[in-house]
This record gives sequence, structure tokens and C-alpha cells, in this order.
Amino acid sequence: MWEVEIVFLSILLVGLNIAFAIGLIKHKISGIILYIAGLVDTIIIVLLLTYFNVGSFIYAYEPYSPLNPVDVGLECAELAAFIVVFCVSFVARAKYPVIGGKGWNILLLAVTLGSIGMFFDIYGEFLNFTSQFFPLYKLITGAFQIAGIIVLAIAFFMFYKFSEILFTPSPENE
Amino acid sequence: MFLFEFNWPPDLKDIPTFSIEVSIFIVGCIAGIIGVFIWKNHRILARKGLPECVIGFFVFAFHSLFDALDTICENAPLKENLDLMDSLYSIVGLILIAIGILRISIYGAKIWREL
Repeated sequence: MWEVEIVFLSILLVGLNIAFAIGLIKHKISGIILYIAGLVDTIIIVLLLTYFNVGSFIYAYEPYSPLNPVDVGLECAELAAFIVVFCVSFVARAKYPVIGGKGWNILLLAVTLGSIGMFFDIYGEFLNFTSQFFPLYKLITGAFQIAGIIVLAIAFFMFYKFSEILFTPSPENE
Repeated sequence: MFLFEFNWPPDLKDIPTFSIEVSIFIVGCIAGIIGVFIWKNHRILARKGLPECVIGFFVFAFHSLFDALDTICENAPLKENLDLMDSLYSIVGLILIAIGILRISIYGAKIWREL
């Protein structure tokens, strides 16, 4: 029934990663491509895993409890907030290019990890996982959020360290 | 045992979820404390923007505390409210971080011009 979608997703996954690998080899990958590729890759892989129910991790293809539209809407708003942080970072870099120095890629990685964690959170609302898989699902979601927070703190640390070096006059100029 | 409306100690099945959510809260608070240290060490550079980001870190950390409390809560209306607070705190935290990043850039550009 879903054969066409599965084939399309598989082709998209392979094509996207080949294009991504070529870009990496030629050093022509910008931050925004990295972010979108990371997010799209994760979504396709999760959709394929869901379809094939690898390891029978899905108990039923229906929500565990009746869906609360406010709850799901707010979780989507959380994902949107991550995308806002991502877009704001580019606006900030345009205003003040020092932000694009040390810590820039780490900042984008933090937002990517957080967005993936949020996507998993929304995904879990629509499916009923087996009781064995549920703690693992929570661990995966939590690991992405923890990694996102740690990486964001590192990005700020590196940015201020870099700014300090940039704003400190060299002894020759004194 | 019920502590107020919470099941304490948590049921065996809730322990993994509860521990992960509490760990996110702890890591978020540590990130906030690191932010406070950066703020203290770079008084001039971090005067504007970073305070909003640090508050954002703490608010984002608290979203996970509400998530953890929601896991062990036994009262249905309170559980629903905690779930709502969890999402709202997460959104507010992220918006504060976004505002902070914008203010860092505006302030940075200003002091760069003044140099």
C-alpha cells in the first residue's frame, strides 16, 4: 500500500546523502544545508523504521492516549521555537559577523540536536510503543536534549573566548 | 507513598523516564551556571544579551523538571497543567535564548564600531 512512498523516501535518503557527501568533500557545505540535511535525514530514517517496525518497537499505530490538540500544538510550537533560534542566529551573524567565528558551527549543531530531540517528542505522541522500548525512546529524546544544552553552553563559551581575544589589543599596538 | 499529589518514590516503571528528565534539568542548570561564569568573567562583552540567554537556560531547564513531576503525578488535572507548563517553559526559554543572541549581535556591533 505504501510501496511508492517507501521507494520515494529511500531514493531521497540515498540522493540526499550522496549530495551531502560530495558537498563535504568539496568543502561547499553551509550551516543551513547541514541543519536541513540533519533534520530531513532523521525524519526519513524514523519514517522508514516506523513503516518496517524494526525490532517490533511499535505496539500499535495509534496514540497511547487520546491526542490533546493543545499538547501537540505546543510541542510543534517548541520545534518552531528551535527553528526561530536557528533563523535568529543567521540574522545575528549578518549584523555582527564575529558570531560567525569560533562557536558558530557548534551553535548550529546545538540547534540541530535540539530540533531532532523535539521531533522525536512530537513523533512519540502519535504512536504506542512497547513497554520495553518506551524507556529507550525517552533516553534517545533526552540524550538529544542534553547534548543540545551542553553543545549550546560550549558554543557560548567559545564565542566569548574568541571575542575576548579579538577585543584585547596586541602589545605591539599599545 | 503520596507526597502531595506525587507518587514518591517513583514506580519502578517510571524510574528510567524520571531519571532522564531530572538529568536534563540538572544539565540545563549546569549550563546556566556556566553562563553565569562567562557573564562574570566577561563583564563588558557579556553585558547585554548573555543575561537573557542565561535566564533562558534556566527556564529551559525547568521545563524538564515539570516533565519529571508530570511523570510521577497521580492527579489528572495537575498532570495536565504540568504538561502545559513543560511546553510553555520550553518555548519561553528558547525565545529568551533567541532574544539574547539578537541582543548580543546588536551590542557587539555597537562596541565594535566604538573601538
